[in-house]
Amino acid sequence: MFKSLEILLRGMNFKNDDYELVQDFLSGDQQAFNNLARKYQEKIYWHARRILGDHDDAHDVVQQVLLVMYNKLNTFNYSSSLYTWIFKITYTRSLNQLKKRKLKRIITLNFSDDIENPGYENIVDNLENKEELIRMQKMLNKLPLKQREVFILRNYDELSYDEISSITGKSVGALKANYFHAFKKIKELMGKDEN
Amino acid sequence: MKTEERIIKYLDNDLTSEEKTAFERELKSSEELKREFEKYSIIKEKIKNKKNLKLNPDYLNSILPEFHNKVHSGKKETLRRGLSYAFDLILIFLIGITVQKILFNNSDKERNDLEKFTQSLNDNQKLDLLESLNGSDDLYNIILGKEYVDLLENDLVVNEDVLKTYDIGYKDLIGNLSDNDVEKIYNELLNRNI
Repeated sequence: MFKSLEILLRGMNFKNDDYELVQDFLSGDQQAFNNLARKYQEKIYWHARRILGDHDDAHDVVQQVLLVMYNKLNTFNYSSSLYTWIFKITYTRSLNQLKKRKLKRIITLNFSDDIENPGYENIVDNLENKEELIRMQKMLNKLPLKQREVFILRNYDELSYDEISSITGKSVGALKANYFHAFKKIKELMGKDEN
Repeated sequence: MKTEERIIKYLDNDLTSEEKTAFERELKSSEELKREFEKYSIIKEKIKNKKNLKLNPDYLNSILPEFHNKVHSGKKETLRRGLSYAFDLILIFLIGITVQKILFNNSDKERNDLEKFTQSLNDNQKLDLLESLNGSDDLYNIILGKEYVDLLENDLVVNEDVLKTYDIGYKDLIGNLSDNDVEKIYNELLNRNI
């Protein structure tokens, strides 16, 4: 049974190393989990960071996602790739973090959308990179959440519309429409910024 | 399909092969389409250049140790909470047993014994006991406990007629006697050498 599942998974283009790492971790190998974490932590961080626009929030999301992976990898049933599964968790946790932040702003009567501490100072070394990132982040923050999500998942995380659909639960048609509006808006914002 | 939609779909590799060929042909011939296309392709290029940006290694290396600390402290906290709950449960159980023992088991048993005891007494014995309970200050309280003394007193229900007889005082005895009756009783007592 186990052998046939393994052959099936290999045949379905699953990343073999992910599969082996998950199996090793579930057998009690903590190092296997560390390898999985190292492999995905940067992608998790940047996705959360682009959705949230804030280092501290993105850092919290990374820790939360690792914790979910640690506790729930035994429930991962290989119906999708591990990469998609992790992104689904990251996406959900980022949205929750966004809700928490909005609630916090309501409680503290702070209605500004500006990120006070983007926190690029110690995260990226190159000054040019920092400036460009801040510029792009400001534009992303101006997109409605639905458009921002698909724009980030498609352009930065390089996921297909089918994968984005399985993560967000939205139809491919709706995602394409949101992506079109997002791209158009970014072009307008970039034009204004340059002028 | 509008121009912008075609550009975005082209960059997103979402056109059919026929649409793609037609778009590329038009791109060569139309300056307007070329200008518009460049605006979008610059964005795409910028994203492409910045999306694989590497995080500071010091920060990256700090993620896992922090995570393991949280997991470790989380386990400690879970164990501490578990022990605390276990202790609370034991404490509640012991208190429950004690309360049950006091209120239901022992109390009921002793209450029944007390009732049986008082029912076995005749009225005179009950009166004697009541007199002892009232006259011995705290002695019975110390021996039996105040709550049992109270229960005992409540159980010692004495027949009302007997109680009236018991309560007859000196004045009640002599109040209705004439001087002759008193003289007669006195002489009788003298004759009997009491």
